[in-house]
Amino acid sequence: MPSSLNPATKKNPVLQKRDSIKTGWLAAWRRRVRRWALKRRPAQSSFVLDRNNLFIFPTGAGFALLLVVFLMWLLGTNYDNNLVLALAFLLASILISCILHTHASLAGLKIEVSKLQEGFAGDELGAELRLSRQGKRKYHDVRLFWAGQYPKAVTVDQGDASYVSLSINAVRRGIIEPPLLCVESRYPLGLLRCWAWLKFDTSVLVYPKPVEAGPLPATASDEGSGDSEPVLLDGAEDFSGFHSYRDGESLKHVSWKHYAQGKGMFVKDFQSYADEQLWVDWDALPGMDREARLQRLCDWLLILADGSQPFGMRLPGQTIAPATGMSHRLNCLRALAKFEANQLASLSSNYYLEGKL
Amino acid sequence: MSLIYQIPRPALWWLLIAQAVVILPLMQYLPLWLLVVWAVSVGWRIQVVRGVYGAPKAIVKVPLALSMVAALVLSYGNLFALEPLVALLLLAFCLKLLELRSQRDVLLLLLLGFFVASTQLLFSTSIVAFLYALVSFASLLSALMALYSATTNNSFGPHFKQSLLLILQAIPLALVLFFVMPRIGSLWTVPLSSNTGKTGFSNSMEPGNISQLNKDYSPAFRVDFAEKKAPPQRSLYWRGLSLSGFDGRRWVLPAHERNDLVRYRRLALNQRNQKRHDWQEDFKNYQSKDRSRFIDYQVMMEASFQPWLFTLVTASVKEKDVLATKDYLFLSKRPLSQRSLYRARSYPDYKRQSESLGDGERYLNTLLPADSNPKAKAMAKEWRQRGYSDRQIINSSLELFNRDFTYSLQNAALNEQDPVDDFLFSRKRGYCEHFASAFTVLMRAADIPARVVLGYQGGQWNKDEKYLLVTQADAHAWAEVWLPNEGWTRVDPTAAVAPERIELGFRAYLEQASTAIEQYGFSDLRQSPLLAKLQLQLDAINYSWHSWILSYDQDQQMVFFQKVLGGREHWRVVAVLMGASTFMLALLALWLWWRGRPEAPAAELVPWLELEKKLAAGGWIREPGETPQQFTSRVSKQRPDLEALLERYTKMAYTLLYIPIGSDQHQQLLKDLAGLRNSIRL
Repeated sequence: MPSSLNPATKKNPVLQKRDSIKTGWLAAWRRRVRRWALKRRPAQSSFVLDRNNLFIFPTGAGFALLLVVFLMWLLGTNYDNNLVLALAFLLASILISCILHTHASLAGLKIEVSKLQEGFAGDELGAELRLSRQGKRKYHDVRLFWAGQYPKAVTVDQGDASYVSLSINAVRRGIIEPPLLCVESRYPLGLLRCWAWLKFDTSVLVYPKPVEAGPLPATASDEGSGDSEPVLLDGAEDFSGFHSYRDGESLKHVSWKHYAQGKGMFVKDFQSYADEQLWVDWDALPGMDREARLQRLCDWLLILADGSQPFGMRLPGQTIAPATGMSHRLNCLRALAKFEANQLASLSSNYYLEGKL
Repeated sequence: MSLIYQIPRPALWWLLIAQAVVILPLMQYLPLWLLVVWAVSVGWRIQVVRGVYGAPKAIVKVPLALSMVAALVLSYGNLFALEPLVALLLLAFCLKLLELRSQRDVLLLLLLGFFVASTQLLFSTSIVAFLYALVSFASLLSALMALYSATTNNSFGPHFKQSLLLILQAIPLALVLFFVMPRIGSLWTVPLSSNTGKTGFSNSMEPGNISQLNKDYSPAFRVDFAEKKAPPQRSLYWRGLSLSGFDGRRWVLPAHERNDLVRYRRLALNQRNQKRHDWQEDFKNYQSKDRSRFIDYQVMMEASFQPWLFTLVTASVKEKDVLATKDYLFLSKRPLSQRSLYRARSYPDYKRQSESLGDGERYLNTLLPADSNPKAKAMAKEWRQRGYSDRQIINSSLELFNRDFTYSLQNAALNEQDPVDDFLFSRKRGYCEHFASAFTVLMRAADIPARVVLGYQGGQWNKDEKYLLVTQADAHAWAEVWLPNEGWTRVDPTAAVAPERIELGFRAYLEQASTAIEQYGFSDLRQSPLLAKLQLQLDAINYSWHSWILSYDQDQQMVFFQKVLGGREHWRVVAVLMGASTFMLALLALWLWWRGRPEAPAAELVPWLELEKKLAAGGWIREPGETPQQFTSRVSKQRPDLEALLERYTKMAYTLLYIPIGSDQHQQLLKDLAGLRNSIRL
């Protein structure tokens, strides 16, 4: 049946076809090169750029300049004009010596990941790179980007080292490694591109992405009673008075009424029942798959961590005793991140090449 | 993953600067209104950048571009000559400014700029023009650098400095390519420059047109004598062309010789048909005689846009596409639109006795317009009636000049109708062309065949480089008369008036001229000796430039290959090209490495680093952030036997680092540390 083409392609089939072939061919070629580079380079914690990991190739501008050199050569040859020929040769030799310059504008640079921030799945995680110079060499216009991201340019010409802040996509929960890092330079004239794809062995914890899970089921202190009727979180507490605001406290319970009246910043205290313990409990969410449960647990955890009441967390085979404070919150989040992390699917090579799953 | 496509602001400024630098020299050769087009484009672009105007739309741009092209066609007549083509290129270079949207547009503009900057050298091949082209390349490279530098740097200095450095570093390799890269001749014929006869004289002479050349010190040609020694000034008459036609005022080529190409073809036809004149035979015989004295020389002639070659009297030139005329003058097939080189051999003692004068020629060379210059004619006729011989008539007119006439540049316009009468009987002062013209008229009136010869007289000898420089200021006109049994003989009436001019050469004559001369109008022409010397030195540089760089062609390259490479086989050329290029690049790489080499650690730190190295060999590596003491104590825990040694070593290393001590103690400490280090056995 010849009319199986959809209307869009039917309108201008030639253009569409050519377009798709061109992009497809180029993209496939690039992917192939990078896959090869990925296989070739073992992961390391730091890299010194040198002959072994740097690639170099003329850019479009370089090829265009080559064309100009050829035209100038034709001009000089046809007019028997030695000076025009000399200029053509000069331009060609500038292009050739740029190979060395561009290579030297990356060679010797040491790159390591100095900081990787933990975060929630789907967020951008801060990733700081440390670039250290070799000797007094200056590195102009070093562009850095993680696969699939936009580049950031930096010039390393002062002090021992410079720091660059980039970010990576937290593609999933668990322990992830950053995708490939591309370091490139077109210094000085943009005629050549020198680049390296680096695979770092540093990894970072990614917490589950919080998903709205509704009210927290109150579990009685007496676990045997089985009373698991869900109670509103706020219902678990009674208002008992005010205390003045301390730095770092949640703004949730600030008495804005007092603040608006100019009486100062006060926080409402809620008296919880001494015998009632709050638990972020794996078993409270039956019938869901692991990741969905973790996402909801994470949501509860964040809500509880915002409050001032101690809370604990129960995961299969792991219990974190009730407590309050930032480090407790972090412990819980990390427990969620690490929970059965080894059973997660490992990151595909596509992730390393494209920055997404 | 795509890069930022905006145009960085410094790149735009650099682009405008580079454009100005590229365009300026071309304005000498192209219509000036192109400068206005550029200025308007720049203004518009700046307003767009400032956000005052929007970018011009196609409805504005297309008619604008088309009308500019039409204006070019109108001002040149046709588009297929060099100037209009370059102008067209320049137009595109200017108008593209209106259409700058992305980095890619700027790149295109800059690449076009490289090409436009090199077209400047089609018009002028001086060193200055080449250096200027290098500067324009540097500014274009700066713009390119600014375009691709992502970390914004608003200062202009570093980019330009860096570009100059890049050019300097590229020069060795460019030289290798220049000399070794095989040359091939023109691939197709190209439109040549349409500017003809801007310098030098044209194919006619009328009062005033040689004297105006005398302010022009630009070189006409340079002569390299085989003997590296110039003949005396008075014999340096560089003959160019002879003028037999006269209309009472203007000396011109006779009608049948006026079209150079037709004349050349006729000569070529004669030669092909083996139609030899007896004078040619005679000269040939003379050349083959052993005792004939000759002068060999090589003339490097500037572009004159005329077909004549200049030689000393009775020369033979054997070059392709050059033929001798009956007057022993030389005609090239095409006008010399470029600097060209020819070899010549002159026989100064050759007597052109056998030269016969046909009736037609006699008629042509004694012809005077009937209605002009009656007084001059009457005077010559009177001499003849007195029974003077030809020689006597020549001498009496030269005596007349010597007695009553003055050599001067101040030539007020002569009478339109009878300029020779006006000169001979009322003004009595003038320049070489007046004397040559008047003398020839007198001779013709006395029925002696005579004609005017145009050329150069004299020249300046460059002592350092040993060549003769002939400038436009040396342009000269003299006469030749035909005498029975002697043939055409040179007579220079100027020599009768101002013999120093001929003995010394024009410039030296001016330098020698005392205040007495100044009243004759030479004062503004005279240069200070210092300036003249400087000019001569400059010309010597120019000469080496020409003989080394500009005239390096296929033939010279072959000689170079033979001399330097010992052969001209392909493999030699390729090998040398690769070898020399690699060597040049290796030097550059070495320099780059040297500039960024790892720094040696401070001398005080060395003992500690040595210890670290030693311990690392044993498997202990200091963690980053671990102090030396922490590190050594960690090692000591595993190797208690080393504890005392390590502790002492660390302490001494610290002393060396932080406590100021005399150099003796310093040496002692270093020695102790080395000893201690050796006693550590892992």
